[in-house]
Amino acid sequence: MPDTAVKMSKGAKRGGQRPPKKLARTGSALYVWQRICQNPLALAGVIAICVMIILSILSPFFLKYDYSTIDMTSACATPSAEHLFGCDELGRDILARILYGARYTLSVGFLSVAISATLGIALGAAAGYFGGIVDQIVMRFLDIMAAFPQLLLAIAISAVLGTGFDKCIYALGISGIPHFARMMRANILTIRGQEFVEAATSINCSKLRIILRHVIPNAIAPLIVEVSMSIAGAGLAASSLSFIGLGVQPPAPEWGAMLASARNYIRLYPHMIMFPGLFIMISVLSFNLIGDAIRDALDPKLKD
Amino acid sequence: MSKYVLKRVLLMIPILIGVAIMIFTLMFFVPGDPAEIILGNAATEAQVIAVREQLGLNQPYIVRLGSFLKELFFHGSFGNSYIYGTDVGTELMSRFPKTLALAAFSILLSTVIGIPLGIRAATHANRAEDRVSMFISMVGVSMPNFWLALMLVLLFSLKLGWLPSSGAKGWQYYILPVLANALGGIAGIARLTRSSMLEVIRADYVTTARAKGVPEHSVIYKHALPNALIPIITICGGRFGGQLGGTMVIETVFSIPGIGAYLINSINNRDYNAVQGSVLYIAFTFGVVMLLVDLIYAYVDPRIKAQYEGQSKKRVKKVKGVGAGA
Amino acid sequence: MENNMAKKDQRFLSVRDLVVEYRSEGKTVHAVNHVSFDLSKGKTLGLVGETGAGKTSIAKAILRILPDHSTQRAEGVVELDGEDMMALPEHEMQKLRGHKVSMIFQDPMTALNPVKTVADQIAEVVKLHNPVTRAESLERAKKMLEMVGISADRAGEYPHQFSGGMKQRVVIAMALACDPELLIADEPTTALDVTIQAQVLDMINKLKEELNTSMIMITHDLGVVAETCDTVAVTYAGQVIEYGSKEDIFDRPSHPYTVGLFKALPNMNKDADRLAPIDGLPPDPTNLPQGCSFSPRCPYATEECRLTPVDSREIAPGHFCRCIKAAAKATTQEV
Repeated sequence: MPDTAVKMSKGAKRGGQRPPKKLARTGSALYVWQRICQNPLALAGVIAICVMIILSILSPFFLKYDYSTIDMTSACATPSAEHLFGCDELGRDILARILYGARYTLSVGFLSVAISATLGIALGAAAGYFGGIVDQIVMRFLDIMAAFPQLLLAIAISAVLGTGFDKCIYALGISGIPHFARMMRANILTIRGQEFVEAATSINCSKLRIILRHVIPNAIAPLIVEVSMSIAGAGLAASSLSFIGLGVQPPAPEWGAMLASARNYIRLYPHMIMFPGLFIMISVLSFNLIGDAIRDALDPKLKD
Repeated sequence: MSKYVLKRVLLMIPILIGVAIMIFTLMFFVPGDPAEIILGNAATEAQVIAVREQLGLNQPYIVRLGSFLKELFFHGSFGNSYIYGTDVGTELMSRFPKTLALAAFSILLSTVIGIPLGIRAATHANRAEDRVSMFISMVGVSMPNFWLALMLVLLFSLKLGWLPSSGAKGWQYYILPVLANALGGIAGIARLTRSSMLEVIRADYVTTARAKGVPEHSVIYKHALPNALIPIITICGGRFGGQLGGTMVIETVFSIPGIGAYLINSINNRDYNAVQGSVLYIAFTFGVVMLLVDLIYAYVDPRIKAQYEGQSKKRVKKVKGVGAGA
Repeated sequence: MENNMAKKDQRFLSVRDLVVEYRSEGKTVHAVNHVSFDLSKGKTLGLVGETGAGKTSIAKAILRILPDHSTQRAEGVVELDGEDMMALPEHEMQKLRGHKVSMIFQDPMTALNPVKTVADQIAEVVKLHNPVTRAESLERAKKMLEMVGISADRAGEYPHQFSGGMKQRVVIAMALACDPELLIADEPTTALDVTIQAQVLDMINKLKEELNTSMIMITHDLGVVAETCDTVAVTYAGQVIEYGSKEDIFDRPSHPYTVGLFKALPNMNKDADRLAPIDGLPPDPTNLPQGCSFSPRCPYATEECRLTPVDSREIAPGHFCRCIKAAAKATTQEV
């Protein structure tokens, strides 16, 4: 009786009719990119990030004012044609400072996530693949790290390492490890149990080959979303650290640090706190929008 | 169920000890000599040596760690502040309610507003209303809480004069800090609820409920929501950690004398005993909250509850694997 | 075709011109295209076809539980006891669902709510449609569980504590809890082991006879049809391409697709070396052929088949077929 069913579908599979080919293969990098381009918000995010990077690099060459030139005659100047975003308490042009400062927030975001993703993925992969005692040790260590709220861990590490641009990257990078490691481990465990790995084993694939060609690529794909979202989170955390005086230090025009020194002038010169915060938000928002689009592209379940 | 509670509580202990060891070790490697910090720049060599002797700073790492853990877990003592000489534990105890109130009200506000918003977005998925609210929530997630705090102060304290801009002398002092800290949480929880609900709403058992003639309102709230809540509860617990972290920053903006302000002040003063105590206090609080979340989780999901009521052991492993992925 | 398909008094359910369209990635999916059929009281109609032929869409359209987010169009006339269900307001429809019309779903593993006990899930439908207390509805739920062969002791357990076959019994108990007059069974045995399949089918048949319920049996399994159905509608690409009594379809299949289905069956009596599968794939529902939807795979197709849409014609009393060749053949035979 059940054979009928099997035969019907088998018969149907012959011949073959290709589905219309428009998008690249689902899950491939090209496909993700195509999906981002189709999503106007994500595209806006990509453009915003690119524009910020370019302007940050080029701004010293085309802006009239240098980000570090002090001019007490225009201290706390409100926005005008001369100084579009106004000036800070030392008469430095805020627009020039913000554009120059983009390099801090963006590079802290990228570099700290590079650290947490690389170390986290390596740890998680080791724990997930080897299992047993390695898994136990790694997981207990991660449990302890995960017992701290992430920002608190970053603050504690900053307290030990001290302040500065590089220290800030390390602090955020280390505090992000548990998240990536746990996700990677879970992915590896899921994939290891799946049938295509058994299939690879059954055709006598070497263990190393299975890890490199089958397990790792499939486990990493879902983490791409996390990378984008984590860059957004790290950018936020970096500006928080600098704001409370732990990250990048003044006079460097880091946005959080700019806000910290502008705080004292909030009553009389609100423009000084308006613009740096706006730019933190735009850059974080851009990474979040990109991450969201990648998630949609990789997770077809939530479409339509 | 009581077996489960006991098991979870027992599992907490090694984690807490691990947390204490980790923080002690971190602080051990802080550059600078505590004796010199305590005595200030004017101290003589002899004084420094005397203080070192007195605090046991000459002892090797392992001995100091042992006495630290003994003091912490058997006497509940965090030691004395380097700068003020006061007992760190007492100081933290008096500051803790303010930090806890700030974090707890923020997470409460986040869930009470975020979950219904997310449900609404999910039931109106992909319509204009949903798209607009999801974009706004994305902006909310991306907004630095300390900047929002400053903007709120600018509007409600300085321009309108409705609310105080700093201090913690009454309930009205908490309105702006809680708002500033909760907005990101509201937005995040709304987004999460939406995606969790969207997944559940399309599940077969929701169609089954509709096919039974269950009214739409009950389909959403009685059939879909309890299932969607399972991941939401986990994330809300994690978010509480985020709120605690956010509180550290928010306290400095509003000059609220909580643990966050104390921590940051201590870091600036290089008062590492106080830093160590503050970090431990927050981490312990977070641990207790995560424990509570696990208990709620088990209560809501019968698949987890069942494992601890003497059911099949095979399923336990399966569910745990899933849990780790979440 | 509507004129003399069945005598009016026999019609319990009458479906006319049912159309369902979905929207997917900017394209229209023509899932159900002008489907019509009738069902008498106490009888069983088999809805047979390959995966993707629109069978489940037909069932969900009758109950009006198509997914909101992707359904673009659901139209037609569905008369139950002379009442057009498509025209009913939603709250009236809710009273019918689970009460007068109920449905058994394909996949028992996902059809039950994981956070509610099985008794609660059965009792809910009882409580919704009958003026009973909660205790009474739970009592009824336990009775239903025993009826489908599950001990009432297990009423307080959750779905994850049951095996697949047991879950399907729970789903069936839930569907029958309010003595429905029409039961739609959507591949009730596909997800089950072969040994359990027969048990579940027997049980459905027995319960159906006890309650004199009419049934639509959706399946891709001709064996199930032979065992349970009175009339059969063969669906292909969202259309009923052949419709008639079980004998009509099994003994005198007329549409080339139906003929192909039977040829693709292994025959235990003959020692055939190989089966004869139907070449090709069903058409893409976003881009249906202009003429007969089976024409791209049909060995007898002509230019006319490919270009002009084919209507359903009565080739023998009560036996309808959507094929110009079959209709022509029938006419010549009659003459």
